[in-house]
Amino acid sequence: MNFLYKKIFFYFSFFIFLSFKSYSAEVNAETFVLKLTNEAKLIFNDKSLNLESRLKKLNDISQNYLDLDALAGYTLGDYRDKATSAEKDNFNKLFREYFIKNMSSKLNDFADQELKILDSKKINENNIIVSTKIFSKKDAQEINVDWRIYSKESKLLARDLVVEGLSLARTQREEFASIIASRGFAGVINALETFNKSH
Amino acid sequence: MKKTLLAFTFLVLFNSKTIYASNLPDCSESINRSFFAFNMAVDKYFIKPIAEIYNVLPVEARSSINNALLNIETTISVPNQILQGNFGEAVISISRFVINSTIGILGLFDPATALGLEKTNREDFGQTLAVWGIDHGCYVVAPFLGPTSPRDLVGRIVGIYGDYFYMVTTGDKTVLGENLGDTVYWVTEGTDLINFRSQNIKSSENLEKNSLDLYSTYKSLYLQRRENLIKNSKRAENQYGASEDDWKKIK
Repeated sequence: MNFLYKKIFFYFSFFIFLSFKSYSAEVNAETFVLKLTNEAKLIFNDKSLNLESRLKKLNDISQNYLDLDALAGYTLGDYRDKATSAEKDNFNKLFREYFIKNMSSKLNDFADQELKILDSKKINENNIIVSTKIFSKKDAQEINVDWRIYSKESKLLARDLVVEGLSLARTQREEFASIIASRGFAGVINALETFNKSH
Repeated sequence: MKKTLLAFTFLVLFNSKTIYASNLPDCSESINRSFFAFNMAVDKYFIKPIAEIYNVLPVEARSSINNALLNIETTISVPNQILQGNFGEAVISISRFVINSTIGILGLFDPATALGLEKTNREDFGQTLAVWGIDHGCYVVAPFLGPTSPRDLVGRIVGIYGDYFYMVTTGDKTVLGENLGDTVYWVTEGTDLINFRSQNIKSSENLEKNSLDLYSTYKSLYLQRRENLIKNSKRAENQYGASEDDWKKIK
């Protein structure tokens, strides 16, 4: 009987060990996504904040959680290698403002929704995909959202959101590519400046 | 026969490249942009208002209509699952269709999922052509139909002849000795359009408000969606491979 208990205990421990081994690399990324979304929800649910304070708080979150310079670089596509460092600096600054205003508007509609972590997976040395589901009781809708988390020297930063298989970074990159093709890089700068002034 | 099978396998295995919107040329960008503006106007004045009214229906009613429409869509998916060699999926789809059409009362309910038969991938003939190795060709915006490509347009037109639902409504085939008639087909298609639009009101408003070039945003979203459907991407399993080279350049 004692032998049987030992055997059960051994298999149970082995199973637990394997479970932790499989997922330990991604637990931090999952916690990171939960913290990021909780902090963002606090901002969107705080009705006392005016637009300016909300944008300021979102900017603070973006410094801690988002890799906006990397995202800006990605969205520039092939032009990234052609742009001068002054052009890149100006673009990064305008892109940051555009992104925060854009997200402020996009995420406002999702402030009352619940997020559930489904799983996470390390896809290469520095990138982890955290898969989540967002539930909206009001619309009876479930939206699959994957978070691309970049890990470097134990620091985690979000680089992309993939909503129902559609990558926000890729969409943005293709939008910029279209503008560059028709109006050049100046066209992108002009479009960003116009958007930032009017929002 | 062996040669055909070999060629088919080769096409299935190696047709998985990513087509970026910027790499896919427009058949004619100026005409496309004109049709895009026309479609946006049709949406603004006709489709979106109806979708907003539709959204007044209780969640349960919309959910049941959505189930029934997905059930009807099975009649397009099954022949294409077979043509793509996904025989296992075809068997599951047929089983789901039989269960949901009977016990699920014409598909309004989804007892098949409760019985452990998970939803299969949606397939159409445009996807089948892609799996067989045929490229998009170029990007087209068709009036009323929206973003498409010559391949997907051909797939759409040819595909209806393999669609059992089309055949028993607009075609000359019968189900239980009856042809359901054109009206059933067009009412179903109209409801499908409104149902789809009603699920995307918020996200399309966001796009309109925040896009710097709405036309290219829709082009990108269309291509990403088709790519995912063709690869049958489910979440992070196989979706991220192709885009990794671009991310690796960013430090």
